[in-house]
Amino acid sequence: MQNKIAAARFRAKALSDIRAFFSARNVLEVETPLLSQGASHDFHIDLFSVPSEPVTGDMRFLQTSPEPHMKRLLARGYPDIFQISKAFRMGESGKKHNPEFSMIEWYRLDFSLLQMMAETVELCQTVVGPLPATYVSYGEAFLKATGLDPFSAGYELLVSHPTIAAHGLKVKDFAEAPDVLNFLMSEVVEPSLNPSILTIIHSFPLILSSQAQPDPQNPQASLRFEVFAGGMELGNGYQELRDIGEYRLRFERENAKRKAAGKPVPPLDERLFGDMQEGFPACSGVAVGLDRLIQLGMGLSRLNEVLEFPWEKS
Amino acid sequence: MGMISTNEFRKRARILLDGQPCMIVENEFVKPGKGQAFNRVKLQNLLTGRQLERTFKSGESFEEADISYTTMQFLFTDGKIYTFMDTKSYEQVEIPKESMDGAERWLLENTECEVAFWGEKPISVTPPIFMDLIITYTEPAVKGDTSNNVTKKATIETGGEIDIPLFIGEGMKVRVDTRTGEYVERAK
Repeated sequence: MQNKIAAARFRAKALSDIRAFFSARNVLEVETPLLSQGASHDFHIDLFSVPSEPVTGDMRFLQTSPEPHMKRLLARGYPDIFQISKAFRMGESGKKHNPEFSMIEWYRLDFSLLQMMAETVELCQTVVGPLPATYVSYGEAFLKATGLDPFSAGYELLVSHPTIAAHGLKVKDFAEAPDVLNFLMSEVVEPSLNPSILTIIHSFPLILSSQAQPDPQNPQASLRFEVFAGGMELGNGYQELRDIGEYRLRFERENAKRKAAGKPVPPLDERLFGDMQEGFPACSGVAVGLDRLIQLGMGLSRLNEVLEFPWEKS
Repeated sequence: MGMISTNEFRKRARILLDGQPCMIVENEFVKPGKGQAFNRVKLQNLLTGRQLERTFKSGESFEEADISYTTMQFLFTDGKIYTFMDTKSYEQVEIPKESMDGAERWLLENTECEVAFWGEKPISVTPPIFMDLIITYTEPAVKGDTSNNVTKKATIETGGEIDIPLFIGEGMKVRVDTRTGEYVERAK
């Protein structure tokens, strides 16, 4: 297929441009393990687990992101680092998803969220070309698209949004407020964004903070952002949480949900905490989906069009 | 019948939704990075033929609909009930006009159709894609008609109405696309 070869050429150029981008900024390329004893605790991310010991059959997990290992490097005193690696998320197959995908992840010491957002825009532009960028807060974007203030609305009001009934969904399909926020974000807010510019949505609600720090200016918000273009989420960044106790709390909360739903519960990553014990530096980090950047840069409508061997054909 | 989950929603898979048999037309996986995954699904209600869009939580399961297809020959009608015969077992079934979905407009005696059954109940009839049918009534072409009409109405031997080119007259045979109800070409 001629257009797949064009996609391969586009990818090769993107990879070399991304490496030049980081090299010019003195960011060190690293490579960390794909198989790990620890794994993401995120309730909505399903893990591939692989028998990894011939006698005992002990399992390891394929990484859903290189985040834990890269954070361990930072805790061990590494400078600014980046990595281009595969990430694996079971069951995520569709127009914008492939269960195995390529991710660009990088960390910048002493970067504020603002600096990180600016650099993320530049990185995206390196691959997709000079799209203009616009910044908007989560609260503002959400209110404009849905008519609801995500910080004050609460579960009851959020779940009564007409979009939910229009999709034939019921209240019981949403366990808690974050689920409704995520749904309305992807079904109402995202489609309302201009697809031909980069939109950076920042200051996510604290209940969606994931591994971001709370926002010192706004107790309900967190230092998390996402970048969108072409009707897709391209990347997700944080000013990184540094408090081990808070990490434990957030991971345990997700694990409790996993347990209740009968999903595999990965043990807390004591290796990560052990490394962080030595002190975790002030930094910001971001992950950007490389395949989606290539799709956007080539003006294609499906992720499969840039993958020679998408999931069904691999 | 077994259960079928959104992950197994291939095109043409058939499920029971609110007690009605539906066929999957399109299935799109939707998931915000850290959020719950959904499937945005386009379905066709096999009783009414209507398309609908619904969103389901990924992994939700549905009862499979017991739909089967049989080739049957159209025998006769009294205008309300259409009688067909299974070409293998010679068994006859009677299908009310409401379940014919307009297929009755193209049926000649002995035409072989595909009949869909939900359990024992016939729910739809698909005629052959192309039928060659005789024009039984149409206005003669008016010489010097300067209006922009390039087609005219016609009635065919099975009672259906189609638009035909001006040069086609009564008694001629034409090929009709039964999916769209459109004239294709003059038939021999």
